[in-house]
Amino acid sequence: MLESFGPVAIFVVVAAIFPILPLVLGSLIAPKKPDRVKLQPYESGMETIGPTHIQFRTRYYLYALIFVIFDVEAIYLFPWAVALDQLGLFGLIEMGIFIAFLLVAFAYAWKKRALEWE
Amino acid sequence: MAATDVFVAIVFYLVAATMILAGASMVLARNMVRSALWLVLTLAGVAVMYVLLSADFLAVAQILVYVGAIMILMLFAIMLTPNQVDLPSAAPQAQRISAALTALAVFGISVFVMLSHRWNVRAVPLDAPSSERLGVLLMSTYVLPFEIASLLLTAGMIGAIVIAREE
Repeated sequence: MLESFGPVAIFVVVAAIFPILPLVLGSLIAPKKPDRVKLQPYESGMETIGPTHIQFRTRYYLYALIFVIFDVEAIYLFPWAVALDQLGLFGLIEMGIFIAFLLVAFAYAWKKRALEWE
Repeated sequence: MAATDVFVAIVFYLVAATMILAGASMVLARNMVRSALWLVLTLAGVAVMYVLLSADFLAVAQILVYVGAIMILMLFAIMLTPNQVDLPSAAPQAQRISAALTALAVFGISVFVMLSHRWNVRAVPLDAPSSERLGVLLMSTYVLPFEIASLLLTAGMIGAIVIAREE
């Protein structure tokens, strides 16, 4: 079982090296002649006015919460899908009930216009 | 077999050290966004621990739910907080002392439970994918908790909408 996580381990190591290596190489090789324009956060962009840490709209939080709910729901789908050939019709009905409950919540969100952007 | 054990031990201690460092950085970081990102690293380390314990499904769930969803929720919550992103450099003296005492008490209780409880240890390590067995158990023995979990999620979502709608 552990061996099957070997590729995952290699992936994680490569993913860690991949962004670090160009950054290190860049800081070693690239010539450094900074001036005021180059040191701006976005070259050829607009300079920010005021603090950048502003308060976001509460709306975003609602989307995050709904995302978490459906993420947890999706987690339950995986073991069910793997074992489906053993479970048969009974498993299908059980998962149907499970999803039906969540569809009620989804219908509520829809009805309350929680998914609409004003 | 011995080579695998050595490899597992190396990974365990590397990840454990990373988790402790990330956890300490999370507590010490002045910027709350950085603090949250350190927590991501700590939670990812927990996923590696699950892999080492042969709990493959739990590891993936940890990544998807905690590292993915919960941390997004936390970052959103930080972004919604007005002008509180940088913590004050000094808390009141009384608050510091009570915080230290609370942390010490939690640490003490955790260590006590870890050392005093007689943990069940499997003689033979579980060495098979767990998803399929979990799926069968969820749909047979634990079908009631499974359906109740669905109700709980529904209630959570409706509650979230009710609270968040009132802007």
